[in-house]
Amino acid sequence: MITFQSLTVRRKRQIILDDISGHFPAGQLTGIIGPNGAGKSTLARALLGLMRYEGRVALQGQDIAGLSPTQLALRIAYLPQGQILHWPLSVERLVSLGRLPHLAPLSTLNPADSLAIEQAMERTGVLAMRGRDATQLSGGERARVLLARALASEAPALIVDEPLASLDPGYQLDVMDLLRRESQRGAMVACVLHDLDMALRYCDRLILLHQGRILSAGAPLEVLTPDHLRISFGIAAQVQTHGDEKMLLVSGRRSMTHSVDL
Amino acid sequence: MLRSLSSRLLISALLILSLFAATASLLLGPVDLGPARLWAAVIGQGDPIAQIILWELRLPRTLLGLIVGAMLGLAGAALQGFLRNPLAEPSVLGTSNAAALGAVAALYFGMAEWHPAILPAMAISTALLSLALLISLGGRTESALSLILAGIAVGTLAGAAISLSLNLSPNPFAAMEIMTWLMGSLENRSFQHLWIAAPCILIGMALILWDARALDALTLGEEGAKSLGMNLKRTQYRLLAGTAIGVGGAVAVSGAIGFVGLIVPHLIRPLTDRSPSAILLPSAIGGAALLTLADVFVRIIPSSNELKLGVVTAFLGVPFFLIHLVRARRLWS
Repeated sequence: MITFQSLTVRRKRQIILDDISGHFPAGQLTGIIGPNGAGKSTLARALLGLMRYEGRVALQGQDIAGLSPTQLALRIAYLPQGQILHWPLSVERLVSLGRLPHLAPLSTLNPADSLAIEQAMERTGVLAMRGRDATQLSGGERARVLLARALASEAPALIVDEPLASLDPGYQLDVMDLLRRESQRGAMVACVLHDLDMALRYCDRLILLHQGRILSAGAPLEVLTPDHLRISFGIAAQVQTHGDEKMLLVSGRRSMTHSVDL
Repeated sequence: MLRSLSSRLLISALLILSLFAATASLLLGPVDLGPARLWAAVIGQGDPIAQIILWELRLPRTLLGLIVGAMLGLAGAALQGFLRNPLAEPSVLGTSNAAALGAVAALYFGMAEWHPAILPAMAISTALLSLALLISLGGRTESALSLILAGIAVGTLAGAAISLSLNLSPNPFAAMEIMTWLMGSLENRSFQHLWIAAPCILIGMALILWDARALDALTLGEEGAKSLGMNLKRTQYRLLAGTAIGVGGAVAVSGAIGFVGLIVPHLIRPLTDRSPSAILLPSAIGGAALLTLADVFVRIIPSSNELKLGVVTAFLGVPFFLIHLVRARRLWS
């Protein structure tokens, strides 16, 4: 479990995250949602110690400020935005980068590393493309390969920043299925999401950010209320339920010049 | 790092190539030393002329060719990985130009005549100064782009100062001397040069090889690398210092030799798994072989003046590079 208390992040004079507190439980898929500029990615990056912050971030009760970068990398795996890949590595070689935090200086991959790489590729369904050049894959294939890279580290927590961007609906479902499966295996999974429908359908919990603060946190149906959606996104929308299926019906734009009554 | 059988094979093949290049470099030159005369000189027998040619001229030249080439190849490979830019080479950080400026200053003010060590010492000093300038300009962030921009600024400044020295040179001979040095050569180098360059190059190589893993992690971008536990700031300092010290030492004894740092990693990359760490050691050995072979070529090609090494590497380099680009175009498009 990751907890954060009184977390404040500033960039120059601007306050990006304003004294927020909350938690990400193990075994659950938590979605971080909110409009553009609300501070979603900043929250994800602060949890990883990639940004300067005030306040406290703790992993299983231990302050992450006391952990070395390698210790932190062994505990939290991170998949950044944008499918960045600078060299044409093979899929297997790329996934093996996830083992870097485990390697002692000057050592090479041992059988445990190879097993972790193999399992990560198996769980994401990329074993068949292990020898292919990862830069030549389609967006959906590459998303799975990069996820395999993050899973190969076998960290108990996984933070994923906007994994669905530029993916077809089918691939989006694949990625969300994978993330849910990882959380069901006991991992803490936090995922920055733009797609509210996916957040509603897949996440166990949601944290809704608005102007650097948490507008609401809890079960999807508690968070995605018409009021919250109007205040944060400026849309008129509501969740509709058909049997087990839930979906978000967006009926239109509401003026952004609203008063915020929290 | 020896990762697999294929990487060991590659390294062995490159070592054999380097050995071949070094042997050719000892055997070939304006004076024809046959294998028998050469061997006699090696074991301390035979005629004194052959011994002088071997021990005073060809051996230091060969050893310098090997270590300078290795340094340039390694620095190019590491910088391409670190800056995530296939066009990076040691000169993008301005180090080569800065080292050349120190050497030019030594020639311009006549200090190079006082002692053979003065010119290389000044070249290394200005290379280190350029490193300080580079870090103060662009080294505080970990962004590759700001580092490249700072490197261009430092390199251009040093280039402008070199042009100024040519502009103000007291007579055409002084200008000619500077121009000749700038073209790069290993001619008439002694063991003294080797003792100056070798420690710098060894330190530079050690600093660069230290961070092989961080270069691999950078394949995933800066954030990706940091989330894998890499301390990019330390990597950057080590890599910049290693390049400045090593390339500074190399330029100090050989002059500005371009293209080796750019081409060698490109030739090596397709023979590896393409990860930045896998090309480091092979690029160093390949650079040693390439520069030594180019230096042999310089000696055996018939011309009125001996061709300068920097000129030959540029001429050899461009077609090689174009062929490679055409073949690998799909990777970078």
